Formats: sequence, C-alpha cells, structure tokens
Amino acid sequence: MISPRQWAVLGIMLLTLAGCQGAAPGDSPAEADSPGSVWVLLPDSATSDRWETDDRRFFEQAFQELGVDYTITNAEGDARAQQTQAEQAITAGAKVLLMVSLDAGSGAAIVAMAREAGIAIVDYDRLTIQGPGADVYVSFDNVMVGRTMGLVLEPLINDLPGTPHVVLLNGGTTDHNATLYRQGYYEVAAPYFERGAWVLTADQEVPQWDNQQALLLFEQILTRDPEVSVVFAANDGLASSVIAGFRNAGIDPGEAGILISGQDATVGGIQNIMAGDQTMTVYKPLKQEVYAAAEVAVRLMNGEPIDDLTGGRTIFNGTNEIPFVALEPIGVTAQNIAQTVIADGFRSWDELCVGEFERYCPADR
Amino acid sequence: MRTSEHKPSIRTQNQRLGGLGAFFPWLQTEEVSPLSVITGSVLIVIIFGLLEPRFLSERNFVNLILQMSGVFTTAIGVVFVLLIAEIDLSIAYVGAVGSVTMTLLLREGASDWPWWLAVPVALMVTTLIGLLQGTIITKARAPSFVVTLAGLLVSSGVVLILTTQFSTAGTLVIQDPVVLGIANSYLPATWSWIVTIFSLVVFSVSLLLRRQSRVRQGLAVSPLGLSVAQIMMMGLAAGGAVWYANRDRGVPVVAIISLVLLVFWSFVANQTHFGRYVYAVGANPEAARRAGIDVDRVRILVFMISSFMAGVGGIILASRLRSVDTNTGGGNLLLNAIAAAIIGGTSLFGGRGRVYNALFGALIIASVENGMGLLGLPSGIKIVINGIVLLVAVLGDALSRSTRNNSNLVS
Repeated sequence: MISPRQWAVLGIMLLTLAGCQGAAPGDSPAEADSPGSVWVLLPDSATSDRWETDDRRFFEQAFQELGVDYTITNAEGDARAQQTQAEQAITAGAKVLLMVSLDAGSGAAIVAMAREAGIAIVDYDRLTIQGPGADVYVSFDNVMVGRTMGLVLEPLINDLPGTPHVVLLNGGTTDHNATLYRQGYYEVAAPYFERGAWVLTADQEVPQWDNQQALLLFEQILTRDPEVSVVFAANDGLASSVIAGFRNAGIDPGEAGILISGQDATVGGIQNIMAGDQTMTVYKPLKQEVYAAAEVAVRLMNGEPIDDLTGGRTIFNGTNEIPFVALEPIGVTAQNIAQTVIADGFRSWDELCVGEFERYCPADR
Repeated sequence: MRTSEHKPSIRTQNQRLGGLGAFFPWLQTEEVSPLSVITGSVLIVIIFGLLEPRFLSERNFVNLILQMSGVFTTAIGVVFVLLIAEIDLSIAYVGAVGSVTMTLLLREGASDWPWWLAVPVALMVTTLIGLLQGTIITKARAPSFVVTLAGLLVSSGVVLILTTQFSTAGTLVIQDPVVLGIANSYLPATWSWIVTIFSLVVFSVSLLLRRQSRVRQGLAVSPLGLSVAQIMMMGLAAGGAVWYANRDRGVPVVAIISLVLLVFWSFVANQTHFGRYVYAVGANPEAARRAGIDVDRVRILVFMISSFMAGVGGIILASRLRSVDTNTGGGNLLLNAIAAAIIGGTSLFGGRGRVYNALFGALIIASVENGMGLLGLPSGIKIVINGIVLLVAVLGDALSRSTRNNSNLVS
C-alpha cells in the first residue's frame, strides 16, 4: 500500500514536472513577439582604457539614438565570464551579440553558442580566428593601423644618422589584433631589415599588454642594445613604458630624437606627443566604430542587408571569408592634434593641458 | 617515544653543512634556506652570466635593483602574514589602491596636494584596508584566504572606478618630482659612500653590542673573530655593490628606502615583543593564547603591516612607471611577492622565516626575469621557467624540512 506520505511526495513530483513543462524556454508567446535586444560583450578594462571610457558611452548613445534595447557587459579579462555573459544574453532574449573576444578559443565557443541559439553575432574590433567565424566583423583595418605607424615613421627613421636600431614592442598575442598591428608595421619595415638599412634589435610581445611588464622588458632590451633609436610600440600604454624605460636609463627620448609610435590617442599618449617624447599615435575614431557596429546590429536584428556597409569587403578568419565593415585609422602627430582628436571632440585641450604639459598647448584654445 | 632498536642518526646542522655552519652562525639555526637561496643566486648569476655577459654589467645590476624594489617591499609584508600561517591575496590591488589614491591627490589642477600629504594619506588608506581585513578575519573567524580574496576583488574594482572616474583615458600621469624621484633618482656617489660606511658602523656596533649582552648573560656566543669576519663580509658585499652601482647611474634611492624598511621590520620581528608574539602565534596559536598573548591583536596588526607594505610597494611601482592606469595591481605582482617570501625561506605553514627572506626571494625572482628579458626569450618559455624556479625553491625548502625532522630523536 502506498502510504499518505508517499502519495504526497508523488504528488509534489508530478506537480513539479508539470510546472517544468509549462516553463519551457521560447514557448511563451510574449517572447516570440518581443523585438529582442543587443548585448555588447566587452573584454576587459585592463588592456586598453578605451572599452570602459569610450566604447561604453558611445554604445549607450548610439543605441539610445537608434531606439534599441541594449545591455553592455564586461568580462574583466576572464574568458569563462564572457561565456557566461553570452549565455545570459541568450536567456534574456538578445537577438544580436556584439562580441570583443578575449581569445580565439573562447570566441569560437561563443560564436557556436550564438549559432545554436539562432541569434546573430558580430565580431567587434577583434576577429575570432578559430572556427567558422562570426556573421560580420566590424573594426578598423588593424593591419592599416600598423601600416600607418610604419608609414608615418618611415621617412623619419630614414632621416636618422647611421643605421637605426629598431625595436618592435608588440601587444600580447592572445589579442589577435596585436598580430595584425605587427603585420602592418613589419610590412613597412621588412624591406629595410632585409637590406640591412635598419637593424632589428628586438621583436618582443608584451603578454596581456601589461605596462609594468613592458617597462621591465624594454629596460632589458635597452641594456642589451643601448643604441635603440626607434620603437614601434603597439599602443600608447606601451609607448609610455618605453619612455619611462629610456628615462630610467638616463636618456630623454625627445632630446635624443628617439622615434616612438603608439595607438589609441589616449590623454597620456597625446601629452607625450606634445612634449616631444612620442612621435605619433594612431587615432581610431572610436565613435565611428561604435556607431557602425550599432548600425550593423540593428540591421541584423531586422533582417536587413549590410552590403552597403561592408562594400563587399571580406576578411579571412582562417576558415571562412567574413563580411568586413572596415574603418580607416588616422595617424596623429604633433602637427595635426588640433585637426584630428580635438576637432572630433575625442580629446579636449582642458584634459591635455595639465601641469607640465600646459606650455605645449596653443595659447588660443 | 620510539622504542625500536634502530635509532635515527643525529645529524646536526653543523655536520651537514660542513664548515659553513661554523662560519655563519645563523645557518646553525632552524633555517637552512639561506644556504639554498645563496646557492640559487650564485647559480642564476653564473648561468645568465654565461648566456649573456651583459647580465653582469653595472647597468644591469642597477636595473635589477630597480626591478626588484616593488616585489621586495611587498614581500616584506607577505613574510609577516606567512609567519602567522595566514595568506593575504589582496596585496597587489591594495597596493594599487594606495598608488591610485596618491596619484589622484597629487593631481595638478585638481586636488593638488603636496607629496608629504598625499603619500602618508595613501599609506593610511592601505593600512586601514588591512585593519578592516584583519578585523573581519579575527572577529568573524573567517578564513584569511576568502577575506583577502574579497579584498582583492573589491580593491581591483575600486582601482577601476577611481581611474576611469577621474580621467577620461583611464591613465593618470604622476608629475610630482619627489614622488617620481622615489624610483627614478640616485644617490650622488659621495653620499652613497657616507651612507654605506655609516650603515656598516651601525651594523658592527649593534652586532658587537648584542654579543656583549649575550656574554654578560652567560649565553653561548660565537668567537670574536667570527663576528669580525661577518662584519668584513658584509662590508665587502655592500662596498662592492655600491662601487659597482656607482660605475653606472649610482645607488638608486629606492634601494635605500627598501633597505631601511628591511632593517626596521627585521628589528620589529627579531628584537621586539611584538615580533616574538608573531613567531609564537605562527608556531602554535593555542599555546600563544594560553601564554597570555592577545592573538587577535597580533593577527590584526600583521594584516595591517601587510597592507602597509603593499602600499609602499604600489607607490614604488607607480613611481617607476610614472603613472597609474586601469591595469595597476594586475600582472604577476601578487604571485611574485608571495613566491619571493617563500623562495627566500619563509614557511607557508607559519612560525618559520625571517624578514630578510623577502630580499633574497625578490632577488632571485627579479634576476630570473631580468636575465630572461635580456635573452629576449618568448613569453611562453619565460612563464614556464618562472614556474620551474618556484617549484625548485619550494622543493628545496620541503626537502630541508624533512631532513631536519629526520634528525630529531623524538618524533
């Protein structure tokens, strides 16, 4: 005989099973009708200042203007956290994911997750080079970024006396973009290395773009070869570590005519350019990149074509050709600061002209 | 009590170390570690010196001093925490909170505080974090691992908030010349010699005075010739280092700062009641409590020391980089500081270790990084080698502990 207690347990189990059936995901009519949202998966706050200080605010502006529901998350450098955030996005009804992948493996996994859930996924700024790839890739032409560094520095390097000793200080290679930047400036420099016109002292990556590590690595490179006169630093943070490294060795990069590149047009980078310590930086109008990505996301959400945005351009991710919305980077030197980053409102004289940098600013600003 | 016929042979420290044990009295104490770190350091110098002669150059020597300073000062605090058999995982990011606070206060055109206000306030902030963590650990009886892990997360979040809130680029440049001078200035040659000779005199006097007081109390004391030899060795080492450094940029000011802190905290650990309490709590907290030691207070103070020294380390690192950014406190600092204390000979299980362990441990870690950087090794290989060095150091310590145990009659 089944005791009353056993009946009760059986009853509870049956009720629970019934309840589960009713709550199966995707069944509720409300979900099928909702327009869905866009989720932005930012990578971290550490490798570059841009994600939290620029990308976030521009995305908020863009999505508000386009009238789209959005959520912006940051994985803080943890690939597993990013996968969890992707899962949360899918559960919350996201129709489009804009992902800045942390590395190829986890990026490919999230792409697979999105495909399985039937939602669109956009590679934002970083290309996922494993697996079949995302639906669209929106970024600056990162090889062009590196090439810009090379093209701006090339005539200056050739003007240096003697045989210039060149250092390539690259970003960490878990960031595929770092590989593309290096490709760009190496393209410009390679013929000179082969001819022996320039000497390649070091081709060093800085894991995780860590500035403290970069300082240590560059100090050692400088110890090995005190005659370094050119440094292709992959971003402004690395450039500032290079400058600190020179200073610690008793060399003033500005006075010694050292040529240093950079990227991101951060406040520190522009200040170093104004002071003559850094030669140039690459300004990527982030607002353009964000707005382009937001536009792509909305088009994908509505099932509209994006050919006019890509211009038919694709990029090979190792397996497939991915439609590529490519944006143009801009080289910034001391001569064109006002016309580029100031004119765009990306940087302001107020934030640049602080303390010892005041004297480099134009009087009428 | 063992009753078997086979009695384990008593091998004293002296016999195992041969003559060295007689020559260096402190090797006769519990820790054999000084020998293994010294051997390790010599090995590293030889290997890297052969692979890349520039490793032995004056310039690289000064580089090394600068590069180890941050880890060294942080590791001093770690030694205290390890001595009471706890762990502090928050040190790197607490140090970052300190350096970011200092940088924010120093900002020209904004708060514009002078350095002699900004630096102490920053250190107070970090010490208060240590007080908070210590209090939670003792009063709530929560494991230090978890509490300091929470401290790590909260501090890293605070760093992020502060750097992005007060700047549009996340990087805050340090312009104050004194703060920049902490890690970037050098003693003029004459001063470096004055400081060295002065310190040697103080060291010799204190050594001899301590010897005198031991004689007066009828305790065993090493022969006078030995103490003189110790002083001479110390003089040679210090003089050699100063001479070598002066051939390049000079003795870095940060080295003096770190050494002063080393001497101060060594004094606290070895010559004060509080220091004795720390060792007692680490060896056996229950026995310490019954002996009347306020164990909770000792614990809280130790975590405050750890966070304070983390703050000093953070400020030194910020001074080196001349800025703070959203990534400050990240990287390998936490791992390296703890590894430095352990490689130097501090036990993870409490009660054993000396403050100077931080010096040797940081020296080894920094010289391996320095040497590998000079060789231009790819990052993957460097990480593997770092891991192997740590493993070898820990194995060495574990082995020496087991042989030490085997030499006990009563198990």
